[in-house]
Amino acid sequence: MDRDRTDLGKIFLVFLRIGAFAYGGVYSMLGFFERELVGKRGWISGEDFTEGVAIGQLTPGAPIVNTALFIGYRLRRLKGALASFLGLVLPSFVMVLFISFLYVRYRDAAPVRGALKGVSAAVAGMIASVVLNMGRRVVKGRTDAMFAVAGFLGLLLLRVNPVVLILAAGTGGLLVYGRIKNVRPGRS
Amino acid sequence: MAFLKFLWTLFYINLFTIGGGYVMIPLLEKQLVEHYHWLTGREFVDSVAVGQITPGPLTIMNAFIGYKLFGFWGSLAAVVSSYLPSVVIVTIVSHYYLQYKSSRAVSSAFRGISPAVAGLLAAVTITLGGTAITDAPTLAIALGSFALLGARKASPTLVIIGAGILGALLM
Repeated sequence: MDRDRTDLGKIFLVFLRIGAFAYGGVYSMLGFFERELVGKRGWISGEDFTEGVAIGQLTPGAPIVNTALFIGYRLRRLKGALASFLGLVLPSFVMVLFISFLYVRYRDAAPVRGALKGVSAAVAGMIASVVLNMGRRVVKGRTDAMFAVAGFLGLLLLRVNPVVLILAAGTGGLLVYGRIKNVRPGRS
Repeated sequence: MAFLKFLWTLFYINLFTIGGGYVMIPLLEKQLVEHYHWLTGREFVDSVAVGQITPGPLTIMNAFIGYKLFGFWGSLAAVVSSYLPSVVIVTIVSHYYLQYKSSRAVSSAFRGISPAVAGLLAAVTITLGGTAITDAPTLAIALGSFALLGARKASPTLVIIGAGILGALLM
């Protein structure tokens, strides 16, 4: 189909839908993207979609936002990127405003405090589970484990700024793996 | 001044972190809670929770933090400064995406960054856990959420909402 003719309003509305209903982690949200854009509308090919996912994860910022920007750009260049971005972010922004308003007013009411305590504890558990899943995925050998331990100790004990730690880890990766031909075996 | 510092903090954290909201949590916590003392540890954990119970990106939690600190305009400005780096960079990268993706330098740097990020996040789990887990019920909820989500079977949104209801009833 002719890419340059995709209606900007339609791009906005489709991403608005995705933005309002895409709950969960990055992967489940990408499921929404694929159903809406590749399956239902055929706006982009499955291959372009996969590239968009990779780009979303390799560029700075929130991967889901970046993937939306990439797809919007493919459809209608900068205008398309802005339409998809606004559509994706608007529903959660409105919801956050609503919650913020309630939070600032009622945070000291007893049931709200209890609810927040419960939610905070669940968030701590949730992040621990992310560590577990992420660790399983990326820590495969002794060198990986060394990078992970260095990050852990650098932040917890030495209080090094995380941006510095991430840049250092990137440099370390370049030094250790920069000369190896196939960095991630079996990836492509 | 604090307003501009806040926006700049969000801007550069979004500019420097690759991999999404969870990667940003250590950086946000360090700057907003420990460095500037704009939020207490508890308020920060609340922000993460708000990011999690709303659809879309976790980083929308920055809008919540903006509202908490500076009201509606703070919230809107937080969204703009959080996503501006993405808009600019992704637009440029979309042009050249194939070369960028298959570059060996990029993939070897990430081979180092990914495990380090897991380590950063483990450190943050300990810091946040110390704030959020204060007694037996909060410990039970934290362990329950870890078990439900660690096994990848439950929806994070449902777990968070369930924990909120439990908290309101029990505490």
